[in-house]
Amino acid sequence: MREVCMDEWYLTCYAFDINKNLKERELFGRKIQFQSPQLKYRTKLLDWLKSVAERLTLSNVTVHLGIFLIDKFMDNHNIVINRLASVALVCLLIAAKFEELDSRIPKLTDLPALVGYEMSLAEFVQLEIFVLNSFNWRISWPTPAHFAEFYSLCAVNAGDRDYNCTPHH
Amino acid sequence: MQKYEKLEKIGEGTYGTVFKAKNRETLEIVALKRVRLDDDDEGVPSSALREICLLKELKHKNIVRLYDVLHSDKKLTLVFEHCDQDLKKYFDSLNGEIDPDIVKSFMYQLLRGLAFCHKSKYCSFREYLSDTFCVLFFNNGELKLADFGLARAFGIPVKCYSAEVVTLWYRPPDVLFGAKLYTTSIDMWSAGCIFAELANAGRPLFPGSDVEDQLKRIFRLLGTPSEETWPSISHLPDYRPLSIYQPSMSFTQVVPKLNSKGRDLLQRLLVCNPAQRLGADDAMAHSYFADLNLKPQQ
Repeated sequence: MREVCMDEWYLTCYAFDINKNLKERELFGRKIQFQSPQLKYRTKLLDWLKSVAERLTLSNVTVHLGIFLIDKFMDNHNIVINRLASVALVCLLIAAKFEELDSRIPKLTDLPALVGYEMSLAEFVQLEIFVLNSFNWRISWPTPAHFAEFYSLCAVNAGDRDYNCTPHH
Repeated sequence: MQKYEKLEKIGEGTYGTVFKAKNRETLEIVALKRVRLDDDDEGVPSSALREICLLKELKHKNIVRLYDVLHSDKKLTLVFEHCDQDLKKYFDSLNGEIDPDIVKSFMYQLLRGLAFCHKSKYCSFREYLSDTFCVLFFNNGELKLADFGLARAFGIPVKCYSAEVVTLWYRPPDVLFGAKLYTTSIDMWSAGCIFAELANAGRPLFPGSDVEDQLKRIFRLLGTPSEETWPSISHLPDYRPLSIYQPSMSFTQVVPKLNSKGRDLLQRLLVCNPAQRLGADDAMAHSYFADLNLKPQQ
């Protein structure tokens, strides 16, 4: 069996229906209060997480979903400061497992090194299940990155060779 | 696990044992399926994670509900809505006769489940219906789509997947020619195959033995497609020219018990060129369903 993914959903005939569906889900799902007791560490944490994601060459949708998950998780948990990085990493891993092609998903074995071996592999496995359970396995929320894919179709045309170098007039 | 009392073994899936069980509090009957987490290096397998998360969002009467995910040492237990019978058992009980109203009702419910999936990015399967067809269930006349690729999520090598040859029967020509892009039209072809099978009370439409044979069986009914009927067909990765068949059988012969409107719908689903296949919403609006009765006498 081959891996077939629907990363290009915005090109299907159901794109408008899917976009509508995403918008509805966004209304119901995005309720981050930013009430985490560890909120002051958020900026540094996300900067670090983004640099990790860059090193692992993860896609935008994964990074956005990962950050959404860590924000939501922090909102509802009081996290020991030296565990913040591992929790964030697990959120990123979960996002990657959901969004990336199998070949691009980081290996769990690589994670302990990224947080200076403060946690064992077995603890990471436990933490992954704990985080998934705390979300009741509902982690498939839309993020701005998903909408960007769809709306860029209206903004970018075939003449724009490079999305990043489109001149602004 | 104390929450559920195991009642009986209901199947040996490709992924492990499936149990019928009772919720001790609500007395509700459920189906328990296990996912082993024996590969410690990976944590929750990505395919299992994806499917569980998708199923969590799929709340529709024509899709089997995933109620709960339980974790215990080295395994996950998925708690599903329990269904009375699968499609094969249902066909076996028919003795070759099926009420046309039931065909219509089941087909409509299949399309309704698919339409729901196709509109939600998060419900998009990374597998197609054709690969999961063996898991259509019935519950008091309600049809349920189930196990979106979960078989694979249980870490079973593809070669052991006993239904693999069977699922070949429901694959469209574009997939048989190696098309890589997911499109919802793949499911619509499979739905057409299932429609014909329903109408014939369980006789598969294209029971091919391998890819070559599968394509021949399809083209004998529909004619061999060409660049005219299917532009860019020759660009498909596994495309090779096959004998030119003129359609040698009529749809009246293939599905003798289906009325003319039903045959028209079937012909609009079984189109070789995926771009011309009817979508689930349009299929539901077809005149065949004008006199739909969703609860015919069983």
